[in-house]
Amino acid sequence: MSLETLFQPMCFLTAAALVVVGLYAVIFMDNLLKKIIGVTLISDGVNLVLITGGFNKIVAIISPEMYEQGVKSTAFETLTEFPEFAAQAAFPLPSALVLTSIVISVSIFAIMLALAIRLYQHYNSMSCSVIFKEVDE
Amino acid sequence: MNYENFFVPALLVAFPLISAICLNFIHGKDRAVKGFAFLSIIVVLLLPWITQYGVYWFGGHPTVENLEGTNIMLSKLNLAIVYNFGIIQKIFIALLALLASAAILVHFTERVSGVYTAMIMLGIASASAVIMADDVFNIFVFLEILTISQAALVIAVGSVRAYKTAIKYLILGGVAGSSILLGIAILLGRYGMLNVSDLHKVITVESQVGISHALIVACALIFIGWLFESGMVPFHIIKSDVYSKARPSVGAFMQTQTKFVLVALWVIILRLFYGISTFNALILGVSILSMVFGVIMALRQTEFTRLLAYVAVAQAGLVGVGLGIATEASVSASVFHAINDALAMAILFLSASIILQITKTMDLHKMGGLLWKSGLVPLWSMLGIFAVSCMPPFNTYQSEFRIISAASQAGYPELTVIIILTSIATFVALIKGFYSIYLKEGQDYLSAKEMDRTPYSDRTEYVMLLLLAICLAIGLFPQNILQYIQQFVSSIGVI
Repeated sequence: MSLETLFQPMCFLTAAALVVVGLYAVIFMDNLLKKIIGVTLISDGVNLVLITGGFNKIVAIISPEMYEQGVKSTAFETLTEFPEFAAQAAFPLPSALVLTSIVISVSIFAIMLALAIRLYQHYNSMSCSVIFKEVDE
Repeated sequence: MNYENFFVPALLVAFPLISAICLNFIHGKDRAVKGFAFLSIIVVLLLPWITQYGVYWFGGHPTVENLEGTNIMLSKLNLAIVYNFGIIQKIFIALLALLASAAILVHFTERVSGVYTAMIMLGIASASAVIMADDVFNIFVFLEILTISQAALVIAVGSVRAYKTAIKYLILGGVAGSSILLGIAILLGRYGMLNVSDLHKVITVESQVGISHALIVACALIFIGWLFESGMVPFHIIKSDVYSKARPSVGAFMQTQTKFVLVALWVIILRLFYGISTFNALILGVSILSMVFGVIMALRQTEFTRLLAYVAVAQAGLVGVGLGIATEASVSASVFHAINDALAMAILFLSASIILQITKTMDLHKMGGLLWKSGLVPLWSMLGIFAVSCMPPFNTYQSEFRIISAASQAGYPELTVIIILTSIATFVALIKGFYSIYLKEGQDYLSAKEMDRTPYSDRTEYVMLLLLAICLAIGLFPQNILQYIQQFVSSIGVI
């Protein structure tokens, strides 16, 4: 089996591993920082699923005009028809979505880290069992 | 200048967003923040009333020729952000704007933080976008922004307890957000599109052959996100924690956001996954649990805002029950109850804001004897309790009565008993709070004669009065709102 055919399944497996490790960290780890990293791992895993879903052999096209420009280059000289070209092109939408998703993840990550620093300053510990000791009903 | 196409639905999202950015920049300059916040409030209150009805395509591509035999979805499909603005969306957004304005105005005598007002504006923008949006990714983006703004409003309180609540909320929000995104990724991978109306058409055609496993998995993942955003079991504890740790006036705004997002997200999920037979049963199950757990937890609370927070969760459960029954009558009643309960609960949260200003505590054990010390607030609070407990002639009575009738007609007589018992328990919990605050023997702080010197915001009382008047007006003339809700429910097309 060629590396090219294995690429997509391997990406999905990696994404699944990231999500599972992230969930493990969020649920079972006591360190607040590890929980926060777990959340970002889950988010990264999902982003990988999204981008792998749109993966295809050649670069994405966004309009027939781009195809016109594309076929002039030597890389695509064998693809003479637009549908043929489009069928082998990557789906551009997930890439755009993942960019947005990364920006949101980073914002949440930043706020969580800022809060973790404040809680560390107060409790002098990153352990959730110390920080959340007084449980509110 | 031609204003015909100026007040488009996108402005309802864009204006609060721009306002939030500006408020962030002028943070620290008290007079500038107050002036700009006041102007923003006026615009935000006016916008829903002057915005044109209809479907607005934001950044849409022109239609190109069909690309047959490809997996590229450029042709005939709309890759734009689509906002759908009708009368129901207008009512939702106008109410959000009203309560957001109240949350800013009640603290106007104090030093106003630019970031705090910016987060409220961000809350309006994100909730408005979720209410109007017709594409799943746009909904995901604004749900995440909503989570950030709610967490920031909790952080604004500045206590360690608030930080702890905010970080728990963000961690759970991050997981729930990823769950929604994974569901969207599955939908995108399978159907190559994000627009809800387009997805609805494709899934309807596909469902005639059978429901695919991918669709079921996507439904389950997005459903987890819905549970978090609606504060349903098992996320009811964190949601009530968030309401109670924020300022009470902000709590009024947040519980309104939650109820409207609950309905808006449910409509989207229903349009996509109505073919999955267990979907409505699942909604009904978690809603009943949320309603029952919410009210039981409310009965046990010794902190007033926490008590109100659990009552809000229980009432969200009641809204979910109507949606889960999924008949036209029950869904209409539920959407109606979401509006009514948001109004009624806001009265009690605002009364809590006044009590906090007077007593500086929310602990029911430490309060008491406020009956003759807080003007007419006890009267408005008692009327608010009647409204939340669904007593006639208030609006919630009209909606709850309709949910009960719909449950009975749909063949769930046992559900009617649970709903009535929940209402009674809600009343008992709230009366317990009322007794502890107003009727119980006075505590130490009363004898210190600080009471007469403690001012509270008159504006809060005026907003409470306004909300009570709206509750009463809707209760006396329910058909004026209900007719639009019935039209909206019919337009969903899958009930």
